[in-house]
Amino acid sequence: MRFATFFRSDEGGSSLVELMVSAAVATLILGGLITSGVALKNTYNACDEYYNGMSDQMRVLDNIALDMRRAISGNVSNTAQTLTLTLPNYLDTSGTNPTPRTPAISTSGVVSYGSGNPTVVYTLAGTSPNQTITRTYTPTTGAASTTTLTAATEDYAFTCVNPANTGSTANFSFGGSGQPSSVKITMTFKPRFNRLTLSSTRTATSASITPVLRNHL
Amino acid sequence: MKPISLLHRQSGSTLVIALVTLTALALIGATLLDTVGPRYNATQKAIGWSEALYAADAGADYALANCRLSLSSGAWTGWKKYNSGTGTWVTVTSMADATAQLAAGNKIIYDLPSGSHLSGSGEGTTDLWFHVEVDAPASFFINSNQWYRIRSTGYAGLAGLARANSDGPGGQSASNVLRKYDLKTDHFIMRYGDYANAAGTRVAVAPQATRRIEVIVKPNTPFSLAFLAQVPQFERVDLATMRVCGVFQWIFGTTFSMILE
Repeated sequence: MRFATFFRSDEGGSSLVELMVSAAVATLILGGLITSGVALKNTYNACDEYYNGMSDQMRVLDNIALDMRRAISGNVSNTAQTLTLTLPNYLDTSGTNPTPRTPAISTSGVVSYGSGNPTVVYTLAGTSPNQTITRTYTPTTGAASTTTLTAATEDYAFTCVNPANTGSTANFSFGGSGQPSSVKITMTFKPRFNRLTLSSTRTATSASITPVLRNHL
Repeated sequence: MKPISLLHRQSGSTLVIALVTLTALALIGATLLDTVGPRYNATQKAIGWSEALYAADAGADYALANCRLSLSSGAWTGWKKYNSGTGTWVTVTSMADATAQLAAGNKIIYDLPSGSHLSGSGEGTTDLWFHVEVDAPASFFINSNQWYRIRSTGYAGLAGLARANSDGPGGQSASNVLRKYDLKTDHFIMRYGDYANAAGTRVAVAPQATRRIEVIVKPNTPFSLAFLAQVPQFERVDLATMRVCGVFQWIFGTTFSMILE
């Protein structure tokens, strides 16, 4: 009898209560691990998406700044969500390699490259929540080409206003005589990963540039 | 019967658990670095691309200053002209030499010396420099006045590996879209050629961002100004610094600025 008791007490410890407690603790630990793993993955995806949004935003604004600085004139349609720019016809693409043209200078001092002017149109394409921004370049000869500057995951938007009248989103032209020589362009996106779907999630991503047309009249 | 000792079963797991934990942490760290590294690289290179435009503007300003100086003295020091006899670019001997080259329709060039590079600290590039070319085509002689053309190329040295991340939408590698980093070869020479190389020539370079602008320089004659003026050397044209003098003096200004890329 003594012999049996000795072994029982030595090899015991798996009573039902102990089993349930240990199972509960194990469940908690496993649940915590899974939850934190999922949260970590979600945070990673959210950061990744946010970075992609900002990267696209920077690319679009850099594109617009480049075209604005070399543009002669342009116009804004906040109604149609477009920004149209008229560029100098700087490159002669008729040969094997594009060649910068030598400008003609009139006796009144007007500088002009080639004949005609290419145009660039920035457009908000698609419908929410999959809005993208495209750039369409139309040369003086040949077909227009459209490049999508953003990925279709962040619901992009942009507005263009007159820096002298930022409260108005009316359509306007710029670059001409008596017209604004710069445009304030604000671009936003709406991150896909947000819990509360607040309007401030879009506002918080706002980034602006105000490039000046170097060749305005 | 000998009792079973449980002591040996309670040892030997610490090392295994430590190794598993370290492996998991190392994997998380590696993933983090793999994610952050390319993004940091992309952002830094994009900043360098923006800063290259400032270098190009600085080059154009330098050439414009020399246009203005050519009316007094000290202009075109260190600039180079093409010597057709030797087929090389040699330093102009004097201001008159440079002016004669321009009058003949030839180009003169200037490279910012390595000891004078525009340097910066902090984020973005730390090395900026420019190459600038000035010429005066025959068609630029307007109303008996000589206009000039300045082509300035700004460079920004790009630190890090020769990689361009996220230059295209969706993180694709599409360097032709906008910034056109010169990661291995100079794309401007490759596409357009330059004063020394024909288009299509591959010139190997360290990673750099390149921007080019063209400025058309217009002379403002005394007749277009309210009074005659002389601009002190290395000073901006500013009515406050102008002084009335007895000689005809031209003041050059930019009338057109084209940014190629």
